[in-house]
Amino acid sequence: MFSDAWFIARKEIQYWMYEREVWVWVFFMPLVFFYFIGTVTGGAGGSQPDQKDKIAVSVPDDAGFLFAQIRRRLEENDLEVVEVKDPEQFKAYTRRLTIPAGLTQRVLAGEQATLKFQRRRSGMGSDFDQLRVSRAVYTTVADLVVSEDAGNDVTPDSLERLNQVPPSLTLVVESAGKRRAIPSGYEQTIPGTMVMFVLMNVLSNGAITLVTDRRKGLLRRLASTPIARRDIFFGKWLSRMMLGLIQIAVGIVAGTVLFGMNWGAALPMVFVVLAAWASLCASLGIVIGSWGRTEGQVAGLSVLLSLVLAALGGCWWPIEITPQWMQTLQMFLPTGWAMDAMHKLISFQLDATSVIPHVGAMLVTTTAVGWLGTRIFRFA
Amino acid sequence: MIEVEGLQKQFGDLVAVRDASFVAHPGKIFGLLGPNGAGKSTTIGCISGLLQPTAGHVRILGHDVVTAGQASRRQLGVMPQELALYEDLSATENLSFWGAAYGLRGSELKSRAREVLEFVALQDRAVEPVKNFSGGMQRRLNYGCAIMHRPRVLLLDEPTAGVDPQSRMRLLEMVKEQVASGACVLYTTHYMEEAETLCDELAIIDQGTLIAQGDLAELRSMVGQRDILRLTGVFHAERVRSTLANFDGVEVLQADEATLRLEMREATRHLAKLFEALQSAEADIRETTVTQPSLESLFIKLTGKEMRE
Repeated sequence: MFSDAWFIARKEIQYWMYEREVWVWVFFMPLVFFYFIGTVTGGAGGSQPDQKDKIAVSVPDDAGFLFAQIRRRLEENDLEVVEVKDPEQFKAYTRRLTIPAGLTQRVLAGEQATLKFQRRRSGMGSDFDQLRVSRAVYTTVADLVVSEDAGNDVTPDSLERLNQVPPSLTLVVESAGKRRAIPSGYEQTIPGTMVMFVLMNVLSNGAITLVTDRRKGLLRRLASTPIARRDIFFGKWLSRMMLGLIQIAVGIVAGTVLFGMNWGAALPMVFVVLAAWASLCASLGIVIGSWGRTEGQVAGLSVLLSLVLAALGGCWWPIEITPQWMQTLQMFLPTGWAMDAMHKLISFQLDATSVIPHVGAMLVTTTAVGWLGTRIFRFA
Repeated sequence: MIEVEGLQKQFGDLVAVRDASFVAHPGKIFGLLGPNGAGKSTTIGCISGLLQPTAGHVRILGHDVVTAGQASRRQLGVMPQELALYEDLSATENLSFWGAAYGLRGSELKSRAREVLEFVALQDRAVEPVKNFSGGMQRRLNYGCAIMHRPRVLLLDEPTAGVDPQSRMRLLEMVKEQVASGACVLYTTHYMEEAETLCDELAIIDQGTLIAQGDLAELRSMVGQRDILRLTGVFHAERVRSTLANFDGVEVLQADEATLRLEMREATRHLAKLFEALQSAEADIRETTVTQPSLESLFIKLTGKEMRE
């Protein structure tokens, strides 16, 4: 049984790979979405939790030891300091800090010294950058004050001693539960784009091909071969599932290699969630392709369904920032199950068992929709 | 051999095929002749196992298509009316796909694909995508896909529809070669001349019912030596019928306000007298056509209409 189904699935995948559109939409477009949407939403929602933002610093040779203290405070504010000498290279950075000549000497002499911070972006992300740089500078000024109040000359050693003293007052901010931060940037975009593209590609390719095969008499001819009907159906489902898995593999590899995506501690379970999602999409593709009469009809429905489900299910933006009614609605949508499971595993670092209900719901739906597919599947 | 016994196929209230029975023998071409929508493709669908008969039995080389579907389909080669080909694949890839669907593998599959490519005269275009082929070439490849697994029974559903004369001749030659090797062929068409020249046995189907069957001689004898005379113009149907009732040797097949269809022996010799009689019935004749005894005239005799109508 399986060999016939595998034969049909393999040939269909091979056939899809002849089509340029499939290459564009499976291999290329997701990466474009990863990059653009990931970059844009990264600015709005803050930085990646595990990645420090770079800040280029132009440091004159006579800046003195105070720069080391400023550098330390910048790093405490999750900024990676990159000292850049070449002015052209310096301009290439989105965050740029210029240290004035003779910084230490001027400050210790009581002269006013001005640090210049430039940033290329605007909006919330930029404000946050400014806040971090300002905080680093103010803290350094406070260090100077404390050091002088203690009757010490300000020297590298006195600042180092001060750095060793634990602050008497600290503020610790923790998430209620295991939430780290609302996913943003690549952390939101890569899973969201993958869920949307698996849905869109499996649905549209799956449904359109089925209608075309029927119109051309290919299904009719296939039905007259000794291959059993159930194997033909299973083969068609399997090919769609495989297309989804290819899409997932492309997303995981490209996400990791090109965008440094951190999939959390339960990567195998991330794959299981996405595989369950692909299986559901495969069943849906069969149903739409069996129901539709023309390629235009099923293409329109597939794209519409994909976009609506993607938007409402949290593929385009984190569902956590949407109104409560939308978050409730998400729990009834399969895209919502997939995205919620992805956030749990990737963003909130929950363990694999936390998404078993999500996977279960997707598999049950796959079976139910697949059963409907067997009832309405037409060869002619 | 194909045995069809009391076959009936119903879609809701519509009876697409009604109590059809016939036998197609090995080494012969059995033609199923009828206008579009007569039930030919539905009959083929039931024989190929695509459709489940509502009643009756179909056996392919003794295997019932319902109870032993896979065994019966293994013996069958089907050339559907549509060009059932993968357009982006090459001719070789198409042949290989359909050969593999019937269980051919490895070197056997490759050598058979080469053999069929040569047979359908496409060996020079073997690796070219099918979408670049002409209609005739695609039809030939369509046929090649049906014979990849050397089937003993071939179902050809309107194989020459929309094909240029040259490709049609080549296709018909290929079918004859297949029959010469002992295959049983069921051939559906709505081209009367094609059926007359190609088929050993024939069945005529109209509105789902087999209205005549036999070999060509038997069918011709049903028409006799009588011509079909078709007149168009303006007629008073009842007056024409009563006038012609007294005209010796004329049978009225159809009479309405615009068309009159008559069957008579040596029609051309009696035209003058016939026109005279019709004028007396106030007929206004515009056009006259005489058809010699043929399958077309048999169809007209049996159904009262032409195949194209």
